[in-house]
Amino acid sequence: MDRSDEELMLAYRGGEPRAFETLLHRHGKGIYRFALRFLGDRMRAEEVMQESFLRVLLAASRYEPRSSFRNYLYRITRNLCLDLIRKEPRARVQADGTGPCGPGPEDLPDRNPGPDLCVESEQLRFVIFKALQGLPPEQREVFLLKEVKEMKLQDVADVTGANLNTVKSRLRYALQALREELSRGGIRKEIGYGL
Amino acid sequence: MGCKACEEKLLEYLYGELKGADAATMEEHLAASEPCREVYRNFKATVELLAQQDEEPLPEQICTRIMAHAEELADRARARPRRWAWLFRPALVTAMVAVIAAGVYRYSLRTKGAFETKSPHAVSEFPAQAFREAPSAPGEGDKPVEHRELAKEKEKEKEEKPAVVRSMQQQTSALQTTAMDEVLPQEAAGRGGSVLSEPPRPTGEAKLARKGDAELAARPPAVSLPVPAGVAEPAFQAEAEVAPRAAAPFPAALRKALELAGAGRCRDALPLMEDFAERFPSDEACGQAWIELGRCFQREGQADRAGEMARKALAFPAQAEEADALLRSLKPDSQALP
Repeated sequence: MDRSDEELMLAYRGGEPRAFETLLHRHGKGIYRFALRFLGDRMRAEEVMQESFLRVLLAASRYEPRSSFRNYLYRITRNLCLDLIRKEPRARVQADGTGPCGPGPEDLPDRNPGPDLCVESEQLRFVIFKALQGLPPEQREVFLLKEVKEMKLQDVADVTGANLNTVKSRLRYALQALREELSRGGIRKEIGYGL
Repeated sequence: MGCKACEEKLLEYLYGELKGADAATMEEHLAASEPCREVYRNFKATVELLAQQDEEPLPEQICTRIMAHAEELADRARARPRRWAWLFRPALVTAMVAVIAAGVYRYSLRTKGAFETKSPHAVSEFPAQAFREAPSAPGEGDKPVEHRELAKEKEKEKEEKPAVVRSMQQQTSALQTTAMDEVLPQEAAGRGGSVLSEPPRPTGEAKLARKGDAELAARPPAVSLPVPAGVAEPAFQAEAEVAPRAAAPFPAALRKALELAGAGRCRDALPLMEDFAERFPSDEACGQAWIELGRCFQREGQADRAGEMARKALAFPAQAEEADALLRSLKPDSQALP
């Protein structure tokens, strides 16, 4: 039976480095994906991921399983992302020089289109990334955290430090904005799901 | 369920967090309400579309780096308790605490003794008591009992003396150039004399403070007691016992000048004396000091200088006779007789 995150952390604190490896493989992908979609920059996402796990390591001797380890890890990552955004606002400028834009082609996820994708995968990726980067950070973080598997709305509130109603409100605005952005990107006709 | 309630719970339903009866109620409402169904449909489409994004491969290089740190930190954590484990052995801790406590106790005793011994006022304000109780052998001064008695006397003395006197003494001690517990050997030329118990003359604030202190103003002039020539500390001890307690110590600058004169260093004593005389021209002690300085110059063979000193002493009625005698003794050598 798989050990819980908290048990693994305690095992690592007790001198079992392999326990941390399990944690890294369990949450590494989610953390990296969150950072990449939040920041829209592969290199900065890697930095944030590394820094997040290092901070957990450095605090391991004081770790007490009082709350969810996953929420703790995402809180660190989210704070690091916000710090980066504040310190280094994206300097990339559109080709026509009108202002900041979304991620460049090098920041897009690797090409691996699934068979069910209704639109051209390249266009879809770009539109989604652009839509996400257009969201205010507080809405973006709520939407991306809710994307993490098994993270409930209450967990998102815990990670962001906002109350549940605020989280719902931000998420609603985020979904509406994303919907509009996707429509502007020409993807509207492709999405139609009935009850 | 109304549209308002639906709006509040829609996101929970969308993400599958609404279960059982709540979920069933929501489905019924969405089936009945077209606007709510439209909102739900749009949200769901957006979420599913965005969820279709490809999984990002984990950057292996970062993972390797993180695991290297993890192993290094785990090694350090394993080593740390062993390094300091000896600190937590009960016997060692008890011994260390005992040693530290003993050291602190000993230090506190020493500090207390040093405070009582090294207080400059304990001696400077009451030289007589200091001499009387001073140990004959070096090292006895470290005994705390004697110094406690001295401190008690000092407290008693403070109560007896007016505040003005204390402020004057503090001013005087500021002029001090040598330790007050050094004994001044007085040259007892002629009839011999000492000006040790001469009270200080206040200046500045002390003078202002002195106004209104009638008792102090009516204080008797300097007390001079005969001291045998060449006698040092024991003579002072005897003198101090006879001297009135209320008398303040001799001004430090003047004392220093007399000390130098006694040692035959008239040239060194002269500037100190002149400085004192300039600041306290009417001080009775000046007359006595001029006489001493004149004798010093006489011994040095500088009759003209000795004559100068004697003439200065003539200005003080109490010393006029002595000054006249000094001038007469200089007569064969001096060309500057009045």
